[in-house]
Amino acid sequence: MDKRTIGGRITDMINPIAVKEMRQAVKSRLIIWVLMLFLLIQLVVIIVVLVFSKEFDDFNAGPGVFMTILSILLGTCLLFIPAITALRLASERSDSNLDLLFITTLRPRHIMWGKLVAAVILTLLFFSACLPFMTLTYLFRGLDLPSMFILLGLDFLVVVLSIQGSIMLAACPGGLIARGIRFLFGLALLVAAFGYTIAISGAMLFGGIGSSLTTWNFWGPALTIVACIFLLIGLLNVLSVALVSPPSSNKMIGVRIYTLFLWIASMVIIAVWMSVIPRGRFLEEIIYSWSACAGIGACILLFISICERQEWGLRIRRTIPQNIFLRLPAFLLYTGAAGGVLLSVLIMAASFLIGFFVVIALGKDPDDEFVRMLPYSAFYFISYALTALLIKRIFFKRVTFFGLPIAIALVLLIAGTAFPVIAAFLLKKGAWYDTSELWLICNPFVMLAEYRTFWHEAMLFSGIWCAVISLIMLPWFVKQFRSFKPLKITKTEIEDTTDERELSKVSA
Amino acid sequence: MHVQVVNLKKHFGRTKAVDDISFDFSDGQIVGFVGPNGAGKTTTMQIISTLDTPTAGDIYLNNVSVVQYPEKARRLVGFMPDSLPTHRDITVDDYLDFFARAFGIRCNRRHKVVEGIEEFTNLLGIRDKFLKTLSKGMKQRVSLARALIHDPGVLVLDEPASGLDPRARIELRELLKALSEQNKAIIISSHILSELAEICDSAVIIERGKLLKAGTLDEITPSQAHCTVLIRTIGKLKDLYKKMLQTPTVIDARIVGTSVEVEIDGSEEETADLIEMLVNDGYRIVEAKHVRAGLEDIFMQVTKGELN
Repeated sequence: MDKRTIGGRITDMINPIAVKEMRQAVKSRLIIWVLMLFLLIQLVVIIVVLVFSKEFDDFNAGPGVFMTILSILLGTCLLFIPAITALRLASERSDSNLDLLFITTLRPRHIMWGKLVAAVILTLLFFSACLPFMTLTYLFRGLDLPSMFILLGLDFLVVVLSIQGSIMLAACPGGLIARGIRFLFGLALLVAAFGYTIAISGAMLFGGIGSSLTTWNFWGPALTIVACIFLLIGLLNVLSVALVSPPSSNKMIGVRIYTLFLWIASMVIIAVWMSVIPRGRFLEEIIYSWSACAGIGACILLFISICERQEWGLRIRRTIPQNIFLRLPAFLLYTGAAGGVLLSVLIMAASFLIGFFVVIALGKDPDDEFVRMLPYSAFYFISYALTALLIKRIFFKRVTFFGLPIAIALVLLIAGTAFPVIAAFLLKKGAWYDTSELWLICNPFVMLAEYRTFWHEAMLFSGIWCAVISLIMLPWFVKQFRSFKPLKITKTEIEDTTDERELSKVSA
Repeated sequence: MHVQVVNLKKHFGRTKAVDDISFDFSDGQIVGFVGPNGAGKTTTMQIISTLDTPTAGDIYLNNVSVVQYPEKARRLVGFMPDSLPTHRDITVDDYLDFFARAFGIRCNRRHKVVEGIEEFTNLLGIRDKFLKTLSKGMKQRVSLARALIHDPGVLVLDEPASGLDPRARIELRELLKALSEQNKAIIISSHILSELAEICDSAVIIERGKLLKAGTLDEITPSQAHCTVLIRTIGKLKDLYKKMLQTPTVIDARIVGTSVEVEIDGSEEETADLIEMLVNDGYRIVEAKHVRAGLEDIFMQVTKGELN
């Protein structure tokens, strides 16, 4: 077996996108120049330290030089690699190049994973190019190897997260202006990530993580952060897959399944923390925070869901399960507005109820603020979302713009929060202090405020609004579920029907 | 390979991009897909290529539904869009190798397939060049090679000749003819109707998403009560012209270069009588050519050339 065959067989097993991206990377002059420059700067830094540093003579130059080299490494890997990956993807996305991949056997998830894997391999290349210099800093004293490797490991994960974030931003559709804004936004995020990572890494290194490596105080937060980074990378990945998937595909199924996974995984993390930390007030607050975060996540899913399709194409319908018991979960997980809204509401309700009953199980009374804030804030957001959907269905039925329901919800939100207050201001001739709290009744954030006298009215209002709009939308939900039916066409039927059809014959 | 487009509809909101069109074509045929801008050509082609789904109707490639079984259909169809490949830092060979991998073609076979395609599309000489450095004609050949990489039975070409210089057009035409001889079913959309007429044996004409005509060029040519014949003789050009004007079956005649274009009241029978008469009268006829209505004429006659 010749080398070419062995190599070919190995690369056959790798994602074709990753192979292509790596080939592009090694043939890119820009990347080669950056790598050379990267090595040169590190070499100069080491030489400068060796020749001029006083700390070197004191056998304590290690941490300083390590941080300098780490800054160069992170500067390259956190700014250059995500930017180049995103620019390349955005450029392919703007042409029909990405569309062409959809008529191959590759799936959108292969495309997105391939991009990530290629960028991660490139990052590993830069990290490995840096390792000889990093090892040298160990010889400068003042550093221990475990600290170095742990810091490098954590920073590597941050770089991977940044790359995935950049890929997601680049996967968003839009014109030149939208892409420009996204690029600037992404760049700002990367610069912020660079700053924070350097600061945290420095704090960890100079704080002496080496001494705490055998304690839960280090590993607990560290493992939680690692788990959160992995979960976030996964979320960004499924979002980017949904963004590049063709309109006719079941775009949201991955996002919804992953959201459920994320929700369960976050519960597991909380359960682990509950088992290791002593019982007390802090424990309840963790549970409340989890419920609130899960609720916010579900709320985001709710607003994305109202923008989704209200009828399923033939390609999706052929995959709908025939079994009615499987069809119900499929309805919640498949792309589609009604299923998404229901799933979001279910997650919101479950997050609140789990939080509520876990606190009771701990022998405590659930906090008033928790009981008040979470469900009623959810009622407000559900009401706004469903009202926007209703308006879209009645007045803009033919408009196909994806983000229209969110735009309507935003307009409603602005109108609901600002207009009553402005009206009150005008009616009271500019006397803000004399304005009744009732003018704030449409503001969904009112539950977060300390307007204790106003809570009952707001609860009543949001509850009634949510109930009424849900009742109005109920026939739509039923109709959506009824129309969620699989196709019943077999190959034999295809052949029979095509024979009967009258075709305009091109053939002579 | 037999391609059946059956009652295809595609609506974007109120706009009916494709409105209940049906036609079919088979291997060895080159079909010109003709229509004004916004007629629904690209939409139909994208549905054939599984890039989009119809609102109703279906397309069958050898009885494989592109809606029901897009994964199977993708292996049967090669699509060449109107835009050219723009990947950075990638050579022609790597680009084709990548698409071969994307179609799941394994190591040893992949090298042979890519090399074979490069040879067929005359890309061997530029296989190590970067895509960015290629001319439009070369990129078009790369795009065609990409569409052929998995040896599809159906080839869908959206405006393949747009922006190409005459030499590149001729090269593309020759490649398409060779592909047709390899029993591939080819459908091409183009605005350059004279180009299409030279390579297509059939045409489908659509306007505002509706099918106007479909069939072989002979079939879709509107029937006429008279025909036009171009007659070239040795000498006596003016005599021939005058003679034609005096002949009762001739409606009109005019001198075109070294020939006389004659419009005859009747069909082939009357044409044969006229030529026989001229030979008997001592005219030395070198050429008598039936002037058929070109694709452009047909297109102008059956469409109003309006946009949606």
